[in-house]
Amino acid sequence: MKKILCSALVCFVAFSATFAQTKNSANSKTEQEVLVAVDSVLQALVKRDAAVLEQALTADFYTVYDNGQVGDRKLLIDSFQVTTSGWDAFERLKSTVKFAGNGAVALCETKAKRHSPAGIHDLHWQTTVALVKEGGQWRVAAAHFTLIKPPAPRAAQ
Amino acid sequence: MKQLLFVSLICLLTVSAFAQPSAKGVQQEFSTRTEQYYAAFGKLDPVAMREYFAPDPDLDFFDIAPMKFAGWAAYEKALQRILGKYETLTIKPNEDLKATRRGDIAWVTTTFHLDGKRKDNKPSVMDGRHTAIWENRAGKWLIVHEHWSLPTP
Repeated sequence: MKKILCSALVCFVAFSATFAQTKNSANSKTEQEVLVAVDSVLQALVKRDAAVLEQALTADFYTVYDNGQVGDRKLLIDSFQVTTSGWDAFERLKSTVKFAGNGAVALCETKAKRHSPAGIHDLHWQTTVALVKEGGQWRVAAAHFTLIKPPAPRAAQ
Repeated sequence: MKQLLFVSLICLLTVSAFAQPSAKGVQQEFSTRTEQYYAAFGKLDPVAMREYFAPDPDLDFFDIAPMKFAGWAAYEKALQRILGKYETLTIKPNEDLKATRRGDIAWVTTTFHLDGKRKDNKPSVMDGRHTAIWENRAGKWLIVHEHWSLPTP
């Protein structure tokens, strides 16, 4: 009987470790890891780095863009091939990280510089980023950017 | 042999206990939950919406303005002011709604259509974007953050 109980306990612990969804302790080290994951996505957007985005976004990443269109990871990465518009810089300002279940939500103010055929835009966003930890790495699962101030396009130089 | 079967059974039960619901099940569950939450706006009473929110004072909510509210109490006060302007209000998620769950956290991303009539007789019709983060707390799913916005013109 002892043997059975012991085996069952080992099974329970093993599967718990694999599948259980535990609340992360919201310490500053974990918060930093979350923000590093956010930054890696922002910098990959500037560099149009598909390989980094493949790793930094979850396979089921989903977002709603500021034009009201929705899109997944593939659409985002494929867009690098079809558009000449792009990001020149991202700066993450005030940021907080909240932990929920086994995930995290980063709330950030973000400044960005974007170029498009219409010109160069300085953008100021209010941002929600949902992240989950997969394979020991925080990955961005969803994001929502809202302009705090409407962009004032200026002519490309 | 009996012992082996017993241990296998325990293992199977353990795996089942931690198994994630299917993506389709999550989609269905949170589509319904979102529709119910949106329908609560139609009651024009923030009190009716309390059941959907975690009451923590340190949570942040982003409304359409875009304004940031710290904690449900502040958000409820803002909702009271906003909903007080309406005679009728209907919000419906569009078909692009996507719900994803990992354990005790779930997030719903969707566009929505809002159709309302204000007390000053002005119509209020808009299409917008919504992201909601839900957390399972003791078996009850509560919104711990949400972000409403309008598409950039």
